[in-house]
Amino acid sequence: MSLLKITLRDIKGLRHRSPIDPAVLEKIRLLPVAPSEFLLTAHLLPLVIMVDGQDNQLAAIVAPTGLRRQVIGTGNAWLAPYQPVYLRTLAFELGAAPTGDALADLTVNTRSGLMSDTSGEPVFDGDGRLSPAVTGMHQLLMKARGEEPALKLCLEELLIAGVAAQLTEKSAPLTASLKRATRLYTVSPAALAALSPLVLARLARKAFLGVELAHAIAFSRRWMRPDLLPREDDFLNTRAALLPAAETPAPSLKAERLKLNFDESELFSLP
Amino acid sequence: MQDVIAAENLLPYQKLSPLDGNLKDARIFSPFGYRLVRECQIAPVVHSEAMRLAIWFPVVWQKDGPSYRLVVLRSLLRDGRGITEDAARNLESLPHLLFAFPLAVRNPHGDPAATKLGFDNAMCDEPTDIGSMVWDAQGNMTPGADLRRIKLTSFMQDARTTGTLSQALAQKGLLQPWPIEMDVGGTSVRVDGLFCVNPSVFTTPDLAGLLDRFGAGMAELLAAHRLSLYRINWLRAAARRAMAQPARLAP
Repeated sequence: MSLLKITLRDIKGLRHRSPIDPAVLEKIRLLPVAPSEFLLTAHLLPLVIMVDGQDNQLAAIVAPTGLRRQVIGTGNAWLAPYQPVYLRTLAFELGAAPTGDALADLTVNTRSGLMSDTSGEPVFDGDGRLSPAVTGMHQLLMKARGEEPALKLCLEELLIAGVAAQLTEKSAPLTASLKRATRLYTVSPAALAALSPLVLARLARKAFLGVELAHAIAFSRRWMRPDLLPREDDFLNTRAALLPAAETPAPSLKAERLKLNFDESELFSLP
Repeated sequence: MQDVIAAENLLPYQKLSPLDGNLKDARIFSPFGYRLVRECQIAPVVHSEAMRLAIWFPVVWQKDGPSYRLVVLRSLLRDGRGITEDAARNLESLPHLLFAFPLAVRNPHGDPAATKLGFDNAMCDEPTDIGSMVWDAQGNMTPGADLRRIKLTSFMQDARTTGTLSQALAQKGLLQPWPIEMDVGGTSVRVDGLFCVNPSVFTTPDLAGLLDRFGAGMAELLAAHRLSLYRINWLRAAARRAMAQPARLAP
């Protein structure tokens, strides 16, 4: 319980503005990702596992300095065809024990700095009712909250299965402002390819969620600033040292992943 | 051998000759110099390239006689338009078979050791360079040709496994039609004959048995398929932009 929470009743008359602003994303740095959207988000942003004590959370790096390719263009235009749930709803937060009543459940996300009394959309309409946009956000957050326990369990299983690899020390600024010490992990494609059929089958014993989550995180690495990524070589060496030779897997990565940088100029005899 | 299929079933090759010393004057150009590569809407792929191709294209299946063939859908349009900007003229986005063009594999699902390479005499209608010989003066493959041979080898090595994984999904009744019919800038666009994995199976324990049997290759194929389906949104946007442009004049 926190006395610092600002409820919606406290902010009558205020407006919430769009989060599509590089300065806002640089301040937020990490954005939670909802269970229903991680496959799509993997096409846009680098996914990471936030590990904080006993808790795990799926998040996307949104800080422009952590990205390999920017998602905000000139005029603060969102360049991707999809905005993640927690970005659309960034001005607000869902309380720890939501009741289903948006007015009681939502508080202001003071970190976002998206509330103002001059610009943006009003939180309440002229009759003093919450705007449809805000009640829509409440529904999105409620749905995401309901699906989160299964996702957290899968993240835990991926950590236990040994496919997570910690980001380099250069990722420290991404977590510096968080209250609790938090480490960031990605999924190692090599470790994923090395999982035995038995482990994969156990991960999928209830649903495919854990396996596709692992692959989505690995798939999204391409969007991360390269020096944040763990060095795959170190991982492979460690793994090889731990496994008996016969069990050392031949990863299905093959040349496929390693030789992607074709330089056409070398393929043909140019004048 | 029963699973030997003709190369012509893989891509619309025009005229395949055996790739041998008789072609000592043959030249090859950038893959994008060839109409077939630029305009190919649906291309056969192998499971090991599925995750890479999922960056750009839906990785789905096509019926091929009694069995199912893994393919990518590169565009919603048939004439070479509507490929997304990040994939157009991008060598990384090319499936092995298209990268290798005009080299071709003549018995793609047969014994790799007995496989013969072919050469399509297609004209390079949009050359971007002066090309390269296939054979050098000593009778060795030039680097450009050899890279294409390597791509074909990768395809052949994995084609059998890809087929096994695909047939396993089909035998469990998991492949279902994926009809595409959408409005693109006021025009109805259809793509028929594609198949996807029944989406409801992913929330059940039903895939565990297949993972136990086929391991990481099946896991990666299924995950690539799931991730890749979202690219239909990008294809649709690209098709809409292409339809808004005046039609390109044939060279």
